[in-house]
Amino acid sequence: MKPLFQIENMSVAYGKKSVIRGADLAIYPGETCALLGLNGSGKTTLLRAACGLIASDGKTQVGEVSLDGLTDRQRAKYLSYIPQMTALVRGKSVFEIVLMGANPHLHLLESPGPTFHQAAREALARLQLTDLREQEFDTLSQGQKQLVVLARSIVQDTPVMLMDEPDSALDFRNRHLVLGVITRLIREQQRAGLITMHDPNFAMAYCDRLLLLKHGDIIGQIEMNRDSHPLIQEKLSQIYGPIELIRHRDSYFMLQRT
Amino acid sequence: MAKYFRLPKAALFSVVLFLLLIAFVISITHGQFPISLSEILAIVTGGEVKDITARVFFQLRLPRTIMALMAGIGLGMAGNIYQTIFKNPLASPDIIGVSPGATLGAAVSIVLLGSATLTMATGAFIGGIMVVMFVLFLVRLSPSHTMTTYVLAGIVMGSIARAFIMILKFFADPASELAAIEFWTMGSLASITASKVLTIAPLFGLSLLGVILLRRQIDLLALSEDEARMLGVRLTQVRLFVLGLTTLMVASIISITGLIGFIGLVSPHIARMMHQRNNFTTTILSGLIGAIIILIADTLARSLLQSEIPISILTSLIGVPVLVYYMFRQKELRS
Amino acid sequence: MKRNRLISLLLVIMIIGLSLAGCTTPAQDSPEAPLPEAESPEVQAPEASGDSPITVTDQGGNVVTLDQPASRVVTTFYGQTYAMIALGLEDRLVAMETGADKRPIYSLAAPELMELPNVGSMKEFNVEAAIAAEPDLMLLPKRLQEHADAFAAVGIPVAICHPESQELLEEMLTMIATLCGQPEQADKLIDYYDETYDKVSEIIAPLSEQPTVYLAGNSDYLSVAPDSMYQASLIARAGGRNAASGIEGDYWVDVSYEQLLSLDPEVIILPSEASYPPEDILNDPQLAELRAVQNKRVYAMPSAFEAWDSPVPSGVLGTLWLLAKIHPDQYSIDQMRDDAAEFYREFYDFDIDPSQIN
Repeated sequence: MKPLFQIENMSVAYGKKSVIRGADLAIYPGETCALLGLNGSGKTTLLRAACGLIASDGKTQVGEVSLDGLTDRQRAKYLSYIPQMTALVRGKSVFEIVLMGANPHLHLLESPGPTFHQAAREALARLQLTDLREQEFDTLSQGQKQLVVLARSIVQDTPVMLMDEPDSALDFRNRHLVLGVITRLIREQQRAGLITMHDPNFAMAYCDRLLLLKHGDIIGQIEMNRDSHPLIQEKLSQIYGPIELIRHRDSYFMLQRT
Repeated sequence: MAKYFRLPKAALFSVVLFLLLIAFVISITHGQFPISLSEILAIVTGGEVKDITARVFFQLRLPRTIMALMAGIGLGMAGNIYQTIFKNPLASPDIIGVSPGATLGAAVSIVLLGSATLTMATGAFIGGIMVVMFVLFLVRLSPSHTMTTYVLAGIVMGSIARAFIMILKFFADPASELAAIEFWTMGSLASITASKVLTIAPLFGLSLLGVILLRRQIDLLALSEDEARMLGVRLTQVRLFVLGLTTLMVASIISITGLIGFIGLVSPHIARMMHQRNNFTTTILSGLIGAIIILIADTLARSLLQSEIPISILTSLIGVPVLVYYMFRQKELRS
Repeated sequence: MKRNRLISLLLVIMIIGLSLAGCTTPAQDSPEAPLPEAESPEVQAPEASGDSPITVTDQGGNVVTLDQPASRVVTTFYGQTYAMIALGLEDRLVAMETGADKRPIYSLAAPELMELPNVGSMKEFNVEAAIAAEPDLMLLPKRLQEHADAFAAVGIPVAICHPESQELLEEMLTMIATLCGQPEQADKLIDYYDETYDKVSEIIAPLSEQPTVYLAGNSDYLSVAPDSMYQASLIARAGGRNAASGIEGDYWVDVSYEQLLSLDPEVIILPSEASYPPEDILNDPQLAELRAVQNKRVYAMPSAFEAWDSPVPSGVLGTLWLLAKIHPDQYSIDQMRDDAAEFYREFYDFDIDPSQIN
């Protein structure tokens, strides 16, 4: 199988300081990859570089299409993005926010037609947000907001979905809810997902593959379905130091070793 | 989550348009030259009226009322758009340098070319556009293109423009030129004639049309820059377009009216309070509310005293209570 | 709650709107509003012929053509109204500038003008109010010439006035008198000016000594008239030297105490509209060493009639008064009073109280 999203030899530097050095990654259809690492390991930088939001060296490819040198507008047909927290957007309704996902598919002056209205309604229904349709976006809880932004990504309908710690501002229940919805969607619709994450327990619970980032290098990866318990523990400890990995039914839990 | 009462859109527009109609009729029937409503009806239906009455109506009264309408719509809409794309509820034409630029342009033409309206209007228009172009150029030069850069560049260029205005004021003849500059900054529709309105109408119409066509992009500019870019918004170009169009709109108006204060700040707030949303409907609403305020203010300006009162005095008097109300309402919402 | 607020806001707007409608509508129909044509008796066109059109070039460089002498004139600046009075044409005024009560000459020479409708002033001119008076000649100062278009649009002839010097004043008087069909009225005034200035020249010609005069500004005595101002020309005509002749500028120029002390004028003159009395200068400890202060030669120009220091029709009296102040041996203040009384009797048709000239 060919990868749906591919990054080759990506490097990012802020001035003279090199933040990401020659990162390679490939994500296959239906797969959700987590980008794990401590603070300052370069997770967010790598994700933003993958988005094209910051300048980088290296190649990015979606399917057979190279994204290098594309404009923001062209890139938006292939990549969608969910930020850690949406900025304050005063006075917009949920439906208006979701409908914004149609933008990359419209001319500059074109208005979204009935097809996109239908798509927006379906996206809201899929995430059980139909009741919130006319609510003001800013009055929603963080979890609801992330779901609305996810609905916008659904309307944007891109093969690759990039997410920057979409769960970090959420409470326990909402984290499970949002991550569950995201990974299920990616699997069902055979998209490729890349999520930066803070908490390895949630990453192990929801992602197919974990990319381990340390000081700007991808030092290894964990395949949740293939790698053995001791191997996973060993790889995780390269980042998190002395840890204990506990297995309960099909799930793993990481604990600090005392 | 408390749900606030919202008037349905249709009801909202009915109320606002009705008020606008009242303001329009009051504006058109009031002035120092006596023209009654029945005479206006006669003029419109082709009946018999005195020659001078018809000429005053078509050359002065109607153009002035239409100018007030256009100014309100333009300044109200531009104010809302500025507040949206700068993500700042206090943004106004000042922030991007249109007003100081236009004032500088007007001051230059007053001091160097005399205070004929047409030269003054041309000067104000060129000044407003030029300063905004410098702002955009400055943003281009800077490594960062965030909205903060625009605001900073606006402050820089605005300050430079103000410094030049002060220099011009220092050298201006206090009896005539200085007074003319001061008067320009207070705004007035007193010297509006049909030909002046017709001169700026195409520019105004063009920018209005452009803003209407770009309404969806303006909404997208309300998002964070990352999100907007990832939704395929061509940020630099769209910003350039939107700022260019709103500048054209504001500059075409204030070039012949002088600065009209507070409308761009207050009408968007009233519109948001009424509509409880901020989208293009709010932008239109803001324009209509601006038109109502200016129509009332201008009618007062020409009929309160026998001499004309600068319109900014009245728009400020109307605007300040609204802002104070808004200030207290905000606190109440937070607590 | 929300709804009530909204409704009350709307109500307030409506009430403002309606009360506006209520309070201004009657004013339009009230009898005091000018009802032209019907009411005012047509002023007889003078013998200067009513048939051939009158054509003059105004002081804005435009050609003004009237089919008949102007009989309904609106003025927008006191200089124009003064001119109408001095030319004996005040009965042709149908509206005038605002602020008549602040200028004493109106109540003295033409109290009936106080009843005329106002059209605003230079700063806040109301076009519609002027048109409502239905003038057949509109006099505008140069600063309001932007409004000329509006009058052209409704077919009312406009003449631009710009009396910034004695020559331009005479030109304006001739222009207005001609447009009103009575050019000889202007000739009379101008003849008087010529005669008077000749007389003054004769008086000062043999004098060897020319005292330095400091003509202070209206709002502050630390400002002075430089040579290019009309005010400064009075000094030369009256046989003095402008203390500020080395200073550049075309309006009142601010000076410092040090500058004033180094100028050390022999006479200090306060203009008619000065907002401070001579005592302020006499009592200013910084200025105690000035020659003018030590000799108590600080004088305020009389303010009971017109601003004689400005280019108004009676500006010639400013020169006479100044002559009496700086050369009292050649031309006494009593003589000046007689001349002023005669001028006002002749041209303004009223008797002044000479004691108001100090």
